[in-house]
Amino acid sequence: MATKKSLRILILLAVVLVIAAVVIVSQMSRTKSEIVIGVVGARTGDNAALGEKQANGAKLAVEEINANGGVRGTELVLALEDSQGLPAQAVACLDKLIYRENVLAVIGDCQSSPTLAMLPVIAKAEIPLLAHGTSLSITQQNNPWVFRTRANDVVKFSSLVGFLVGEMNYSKIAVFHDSADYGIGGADAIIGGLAERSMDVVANESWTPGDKDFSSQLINIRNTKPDVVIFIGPMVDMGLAMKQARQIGIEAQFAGGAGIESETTVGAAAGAAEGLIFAAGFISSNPDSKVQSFVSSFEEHFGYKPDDFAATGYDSIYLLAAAIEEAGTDPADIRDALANLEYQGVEGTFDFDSVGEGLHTMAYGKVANGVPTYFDPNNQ
Amino acid sequence: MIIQLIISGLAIGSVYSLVALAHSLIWSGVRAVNFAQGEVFMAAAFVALTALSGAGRLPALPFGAAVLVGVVAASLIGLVIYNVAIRTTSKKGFLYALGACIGFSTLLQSSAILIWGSTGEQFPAQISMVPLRVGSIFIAPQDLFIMGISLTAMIILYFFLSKTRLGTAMRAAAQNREVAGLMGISHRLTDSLTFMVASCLAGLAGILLAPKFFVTPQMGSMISSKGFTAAVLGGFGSIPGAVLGGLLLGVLENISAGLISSSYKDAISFLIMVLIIMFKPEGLLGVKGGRKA
Amino acid sequence: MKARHHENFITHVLPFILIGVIALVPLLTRDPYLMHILVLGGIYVILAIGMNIITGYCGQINLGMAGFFAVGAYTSALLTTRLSLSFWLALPISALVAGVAGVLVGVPALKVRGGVYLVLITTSFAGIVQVILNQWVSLTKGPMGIVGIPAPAIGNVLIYERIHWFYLTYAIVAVIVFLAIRLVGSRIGRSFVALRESETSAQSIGISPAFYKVLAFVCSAVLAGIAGSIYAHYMTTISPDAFGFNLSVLALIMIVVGGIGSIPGSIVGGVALALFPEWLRALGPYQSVAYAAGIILAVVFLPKGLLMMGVDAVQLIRKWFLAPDETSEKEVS
Repeated sequence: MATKKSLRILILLAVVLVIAAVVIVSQMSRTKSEIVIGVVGARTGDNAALGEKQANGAKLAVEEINANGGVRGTELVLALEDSQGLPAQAVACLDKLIYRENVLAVIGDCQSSPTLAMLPVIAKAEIPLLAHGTSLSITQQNNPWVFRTRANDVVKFSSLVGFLVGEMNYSKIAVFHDSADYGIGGADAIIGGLAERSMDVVANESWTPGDKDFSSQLINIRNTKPDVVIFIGPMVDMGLAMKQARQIGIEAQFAGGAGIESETTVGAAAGAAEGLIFAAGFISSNPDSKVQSFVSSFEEHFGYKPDDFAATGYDSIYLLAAAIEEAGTDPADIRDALANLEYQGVEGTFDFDSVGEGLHTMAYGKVANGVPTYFDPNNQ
Repeated sequence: MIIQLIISGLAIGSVYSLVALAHSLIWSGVRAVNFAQGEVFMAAAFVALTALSGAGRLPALPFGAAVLVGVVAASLIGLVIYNVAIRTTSKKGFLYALGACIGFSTLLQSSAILIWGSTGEQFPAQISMVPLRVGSIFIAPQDLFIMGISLTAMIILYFFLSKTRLGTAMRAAAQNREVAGLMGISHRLTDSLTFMVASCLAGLAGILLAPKFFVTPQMGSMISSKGFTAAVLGGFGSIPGAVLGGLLLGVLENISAGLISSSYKDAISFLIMVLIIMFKPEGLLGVKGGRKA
Repeated sequence: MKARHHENFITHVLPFILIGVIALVPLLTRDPYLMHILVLGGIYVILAIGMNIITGYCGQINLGMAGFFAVGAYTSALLTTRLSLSFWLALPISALVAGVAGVLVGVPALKVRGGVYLVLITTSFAGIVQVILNQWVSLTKGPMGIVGIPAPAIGNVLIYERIHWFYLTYAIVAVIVFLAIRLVGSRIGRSFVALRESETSAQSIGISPAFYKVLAFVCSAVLAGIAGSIYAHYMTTISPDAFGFNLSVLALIMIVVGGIGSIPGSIVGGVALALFPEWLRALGPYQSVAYAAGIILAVVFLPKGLLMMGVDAVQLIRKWFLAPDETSEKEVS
């Protein structure tokens, strides 16, 4: 019967295709003679800028380490994957890194929701993850394999509030944030920090990430006549918001957390970022020699100054290198080494606590002549 | 305060209008939608920026020349999109054109990331951004300039389409292919031309708006969808409608954000839009019972 | 006669062959990476079938599938995390809630004519859903998302391993495929197609456009809701940014690439779009560009979709390798 014949051919074709697909996707894994570290981040899509800086920071670190003889005499290799900032894709990246590239550890994702999606996978695979997302919930999942190598939102913004109110004596604070987890988490931390001082924000407005026009919200803010406006959100958005704020007649002091002092934000603000105060672990004009050599090296390699995301990528690799150097190439040993490590990076001193938080204090800076500088209130 | 909201709404609305004009032009001429319009806009801005600052062995060009290069690049991209995505799928249905255009939008954005990186660059401002102050109302000269450009573009396009032979031929070809063909109008020619002109417009908009927005590979996507919405709102295919739709969208967004809630601003705008489409589907200036989309 | 057998085969038998072949994969390898991609593929298949019902069979373009998917995912997540309901209860309830959302979109959609306007209404709906998910923090935790969504349980076994998820997902896919085939072949399905071809003619033979169009929306919403629920429990964490416009676009691409108006096409499209970007990872930074180029080529050069391309290829092979009398028999059809 003709139908039987076509059935057979069809099954044959389907099976051939499936086998081919399986073979292609189950490529031969990397050999174990290299030390491979995975890097997950958005390389395309709306948040590609974050992933690019993260990757560049990491690449620089790897180059420097390899130039100095590598780790335990072996070269470090980076395996970069594009998560597009999407949770399901981040898991796919992680899977590929763990099951194909045989990574010893992974750094990333730059954003919180892909990081959260990766947590169950690393717990099961028992591979350390150096997380770059800042949402508090990342370290609240009872996951011993996650280590955060950036200051979380609460540390960053409550420190900022403490600085603005305590040291700079501002009292009328407005917060303008995006509606993503960074913005909302940050705003909550600010409101919490103010509540501790029995204060409240005078204005609390939000925007959708990617928005280009902030006039209505800024008008609302302007009406409350704040001393300080704190911006929290994607770099380009914050820059445009600051620019439009000045254009609409807001004269308040601007402030924010790490990211707001980056070249992207300051560039987008086109002059409106001048005088802005920020809280960050990494400040590019920090006179510390390690920081300075990082900054000049980075600028030489990539043509622009590094920012907080680049610093996180850089420090994360060095942290892993230190842990591997000490404990060897077993992921469980690396995890233990990280937990006990105390390391001075360009972002500050890392000392991981029991839930995996690495950075506990912030430094403060001011944008002067378009460049982030150290801020000492007693000297300004 | 309401006046400030309205003025600022008109300012951003003019931006939407420029992109909406490109959409409406393509619809009037080709009965198609270029869903990659925002990326054309972005590409023009990047190309012009590169021309302005010089690249590799190529010298930096003066502003006018850089704009020209950017606009030409935009029209070429538009031509490619037309030939690959629109013409080939015209007989197969709207879905295919949609899919192909969206493919192009990803292609353009990812290519821009590969070529120029994701960090973005500031386009040097040609017009002052220091705000003018009239009483308690602030407005930047840059915004006034953009409003002026949209209105000028609208007037020019309107006359082009209704008064010139080429423009009329384009409209005729859009409304009835066969008859236009019989009359010797090559619809391939008019379609390509329409696409190129619309892309030039989008490209010009991109370059003029670049100083306002900071040039990144992602700058096109939000603007594109708002521009599309504005075009439908004003009456898809109507040139004055595109401008009106853009201004209206800008003002509506601002008023709802300022008076109701900024967190739900987008949802409110969507809702208003849905209501307008439901109860006046041809848009504000469209013709009732017009051509099926 | 032959043509009808051929068509019957494609519509009724082929889908199960495809599912069967996929189900055999774990016999070759249990690689967790591949399992993840295939689970995602299964979720996509359900989404694609839903998309095909509204857009492929009924001809109403729907670019808001991400909204229905999100409603299903969040309903399921909230029911299991806040009310401690079991997955098996949460799944149908999520499907129902998504179905209600389908009515909320379908009814306004009746008032508009034309693809362009439908695009706008459906994307607006998905946009409104995303804003609400982000802003209604007390219910949805906003952008922080919901974490720790529990695994489904069958008796005492928790569905936690990738391989178990694989089988669970494809079991649900098989059931849905079966129901979808029945739907499409029934009077309802034929009414959908009639409406797509010519609304006025359909009306003249007594098919109420309003009823069937809304029904098609509801069907697609229910399926997207089921897909969303599976997704939420599989990923164990969800947040609004996973449910953006890109997902709705993906649903569209799935059916265009797989085969519009075809159940087996939905299967091919869903799995292909989960696999394809992973194949391209080897290209490193060129992954996204290659993906986009691939989509454009597929859309432009494979108007009948991958499935029909496969079927045509089989026909061609038969023509070349089989006896002449077979070939001439085929000519008749």
